[in-house]
Amino acid sequence: MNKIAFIALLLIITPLFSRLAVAQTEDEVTTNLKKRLQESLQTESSPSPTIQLRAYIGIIKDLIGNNLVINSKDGKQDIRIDDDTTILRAPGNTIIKPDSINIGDSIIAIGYPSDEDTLTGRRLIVSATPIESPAKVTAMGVIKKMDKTSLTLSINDSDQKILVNSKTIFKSPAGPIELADLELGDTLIYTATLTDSTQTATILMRVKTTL
Amino acid sequence: MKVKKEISIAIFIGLFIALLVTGGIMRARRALKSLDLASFKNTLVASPLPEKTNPTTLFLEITTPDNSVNEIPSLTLAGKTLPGTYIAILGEKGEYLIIPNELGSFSQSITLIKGANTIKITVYEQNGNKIEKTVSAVYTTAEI
Repeated sequence: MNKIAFIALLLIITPLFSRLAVAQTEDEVTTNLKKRLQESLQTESSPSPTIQLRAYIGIIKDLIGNNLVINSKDGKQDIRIDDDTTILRAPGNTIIKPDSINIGDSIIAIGYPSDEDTLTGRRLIVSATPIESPAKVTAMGVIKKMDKTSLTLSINDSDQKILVNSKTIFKSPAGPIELADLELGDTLIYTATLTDSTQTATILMRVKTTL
Repeated sequence: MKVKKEISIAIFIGLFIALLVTGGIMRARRALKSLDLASFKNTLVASPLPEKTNPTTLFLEITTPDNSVNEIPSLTLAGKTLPGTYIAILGEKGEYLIIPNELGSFSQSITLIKGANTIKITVYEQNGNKIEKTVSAVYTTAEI
């Protein structure tokens, strides 16, 4: 009779332990998942503001209420002005109100992208003067003529004279070279500053030589 | 009486074994469900080995983010193009003529001026073909 009681007890206890073990494992999995989800949410909700900040450079094309439409190198871009937006007018960087922004002004718009085409402005710098980069050119050509102060290159079947000076860097893919190392027929790539249609080479790289 | 007792024990043992087997089957089914064999199989089928591509057409990929805001007066311009090409970079303050490595990757530190910076990148092939891209960057020390 004792044996029967023992077996019955065993039968009752065994599934209980098994159930307990399963429940414990499920609890651990749930806890781990919760922990991971929380970590993931924390990472997403605190991004580095430096990474998210974007800046668009362009010309103001339209001003509708608190929204600006600018023409940047990538095309049309909407800029939203809100209470936290600081608007400055250059030169002088004086703080201005949105109604002092003029269509045709140049703009540097710094802010956070709120959707694909809209930037919520944090700092807008407008100027009546266009934002212009220094005139520089780059091209590839073959030496047709050369002397101590200039090279004439054949570029797309037309001749281009390039001045060289003591600041001009001469190089090849293998390392630095000198003007004296260049030969007629060599192929060059160059960068140059442009002043009144005169090109002055800053760097010249020989990419193919006749030698 | 003794026979009745033995029958009872046999029934109990039988029930116990049956319970163990049922429990085992249930556990196995649960484990298989959590493994999600179907999606595992799909992953194996849908992800063949990456193809080795060897592009021959001139291309230019800039990995440096465009329209960036920088707190320091320099920007690392990085990207990828065809190996054996020549890269001309025109920045606001300087110019650079570089060559990519044997995999076509390149990286160049560009000096920035305060405010708007437009950086023009031109890649030349030896036969004269070229491709151009422009990257914009703003350098500011203002707290934004």
